[in-house]
Amino acid sequence: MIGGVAVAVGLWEVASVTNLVSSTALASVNATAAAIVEHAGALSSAAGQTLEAWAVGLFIATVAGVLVGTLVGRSRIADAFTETLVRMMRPLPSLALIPIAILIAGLGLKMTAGLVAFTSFWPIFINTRYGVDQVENLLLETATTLGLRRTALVRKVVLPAAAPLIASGFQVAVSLALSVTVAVELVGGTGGIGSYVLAAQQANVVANMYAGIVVGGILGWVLNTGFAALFRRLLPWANRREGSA
Amino acid sequence: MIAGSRRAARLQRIGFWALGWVGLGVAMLVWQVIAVVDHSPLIPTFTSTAIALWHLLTSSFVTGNLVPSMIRLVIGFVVSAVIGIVIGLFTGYYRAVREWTTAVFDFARSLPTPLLIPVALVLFGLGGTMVVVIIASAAIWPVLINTSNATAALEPTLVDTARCLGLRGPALLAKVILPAVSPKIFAGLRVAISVSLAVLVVAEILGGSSGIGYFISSAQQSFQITNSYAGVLVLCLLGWIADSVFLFVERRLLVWQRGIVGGGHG
Amino acid sequence: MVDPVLEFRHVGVTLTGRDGSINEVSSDVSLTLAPREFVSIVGPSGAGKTTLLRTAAGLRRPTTGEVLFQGRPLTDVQNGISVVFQEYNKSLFPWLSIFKNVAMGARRLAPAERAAHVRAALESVALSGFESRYPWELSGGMQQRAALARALVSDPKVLMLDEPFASVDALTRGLLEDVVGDLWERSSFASLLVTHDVGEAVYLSDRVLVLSARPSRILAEVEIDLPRPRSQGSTRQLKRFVELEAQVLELVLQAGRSVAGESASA
Repeated sequence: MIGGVAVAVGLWEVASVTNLVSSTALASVNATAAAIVEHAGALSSAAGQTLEAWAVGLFIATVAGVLVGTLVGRSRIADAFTETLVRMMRPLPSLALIPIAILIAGLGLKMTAGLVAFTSFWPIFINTRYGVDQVENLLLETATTLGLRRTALVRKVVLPAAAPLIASGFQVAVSLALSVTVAVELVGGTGGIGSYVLAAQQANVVANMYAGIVVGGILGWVLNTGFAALFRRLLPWANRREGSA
Repeated sequence: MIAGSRRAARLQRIGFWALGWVGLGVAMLVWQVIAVVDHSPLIPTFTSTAIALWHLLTSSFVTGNLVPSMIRLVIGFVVSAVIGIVIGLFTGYYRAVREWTTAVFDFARSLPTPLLIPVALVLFGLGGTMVVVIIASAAIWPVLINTSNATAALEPTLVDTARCLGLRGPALLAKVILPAVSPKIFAGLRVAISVSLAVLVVAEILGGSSGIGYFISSAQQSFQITNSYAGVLVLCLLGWIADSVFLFVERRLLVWQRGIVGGGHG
Repeated sequence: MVDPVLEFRHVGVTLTGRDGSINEVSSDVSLTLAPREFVSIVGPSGAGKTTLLRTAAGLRRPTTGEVLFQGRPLTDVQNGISVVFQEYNKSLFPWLSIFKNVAMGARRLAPAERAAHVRAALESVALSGFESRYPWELSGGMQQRAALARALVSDPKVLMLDEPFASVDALTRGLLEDVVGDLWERSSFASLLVTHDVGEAVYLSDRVLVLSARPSRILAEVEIDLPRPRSQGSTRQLKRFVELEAQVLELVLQAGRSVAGESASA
């Protein structure tokens, strides 16, 4: 595994040293590393800004997605009522809303987080709806004979049973939210890693541009693997499905 | 008796389908009411947006922006699909290759693709090539990862059986492995379509000189807000059409799968 | 004495785990299979029966010793050896109809002859009329018969059966045993059956080999001197059948006890 990383970094260095990719477009490994160290302060505050918009948007999306998803998933009528709307909205690239969102909400956290929330809502909502709908009838009937009703039934049986699917929707949302945050920062120039990279490109400081990209990649990697590890611990029953399939 | 219940089931299905369109209608109505009540220049009514959409679809917008976007979308998607499937099969089949590439691929797919737009701008300048490259580099991951995971999880009995029947090399790949993993590949391709559409827009906003993204952004900057909204609707329709075509093709190619997963959902 | 069609000479198989752990499955197995002979291998679970069968089929090479097929070392899967696996739901290709599944076994025949052979094979297992069905539309017993037809359509010299009836109910199992028995009587292939069902081994075989616990070797060989043709109703009533079954069962239980003693501490 480490070997693979070493090979990839080696290829990057070879591409830059041999000028395979012009030096105006590719910084060497050393120069990038040096830029990360030198601008650690600016980079970490940019990463912090990105993380803030990401977290606020994702939090709203999670609460709304699980809530609405559970309500819709428990009712066939509501499910049918929202079907076409969802099928039109889901593939809609919400990034197309950036220009409009800038007009309505201005440049700032409110706009970025709102757009992140709007985008991340869909995978969480769709997976919750599907997960809640898929809960085994036998499980529900057993729970009913044990005396569980309404909210208790949802809280203690339906949601835990749907949790693996909700978690996988959330994990899609984690990386989607980061991409949207960065995209808004690029287009709107609202600060954060996206703006940092664009500014470096416009100033022709290639090493800084790559420093920003690497930091963004690390951010994404930490968030993805972190949540994956968290869910493995929190939902040990999630892997059972795959195992027995 | 059976015919009657079958008819009832069919009527119910049509009912649910109609309800879906009613839901869409209600959403449009809500939009209209909000726009009329709010009376803000930033939120045009649904009706005026629909009229603007009609004007767009009968104007030079089609050849100047819609068609270029669609060409970029198709090229980027096809490139990412082909490369993703080939690499995915390779890494999935050979455990050693998978172990060497996992960390690098994990990092690469965690990297938010829009961050690569500035690099692509330096390398390819403004225009179509850069947009295609960005689409391909974003859409490749869902295809590659799905193909690789499905290939790695192939039933050993299935491969053993195929080998005993004398299949090897390209025949094994084409006749057994590819069909066996095709449901997962399709799931990945479906995600890749919406990813393609999303990054297409950002790439065109930042570095296009034509295309739907460019149009939405420049309409906003010249305060033709209604046109901006109409552009978003075009994308909505495009996404919906692409998804529907895709589901249709998938259902025809993977008929055999329906019996195994039992009916299928949605 | 005729030359054996298949021969194991001091075969040892050692598996290397992902973590580098070494697991000696069998240490020194020697056996012969004469043309037209029906031999069964029984043993306690975990004795490595399936690994031995995969070695005999050429799916894996022995670590020590050698496997000879028609007098030549077996190094890969081989024309003339067919295998039926336990999990019919995983070994039939779900994306192919029953006809096309069986045709996969007839790939070496000229295209013109293929259809006729496939039809004949399907008829021999009483599956005529199900050509265009998909595997999942058939019952477990029918699926396993289709797998049998696919294995026999190429007219093999050796038919390997890996617990072929373990996944079906008791009644279907009896019927399938007779299908195999009848086909064997009428054709010219030799058969190597791996099973944990002692009665089944005795009922079908000319000889039963009892495998020891891991690392396994042949513990005992029991000659089955029951008259042929055999049938579920009469053969299983014979005093001799009951004696032989008890004898083999006692040997398997002996072998199993040593396994249980070991695995309890592991």
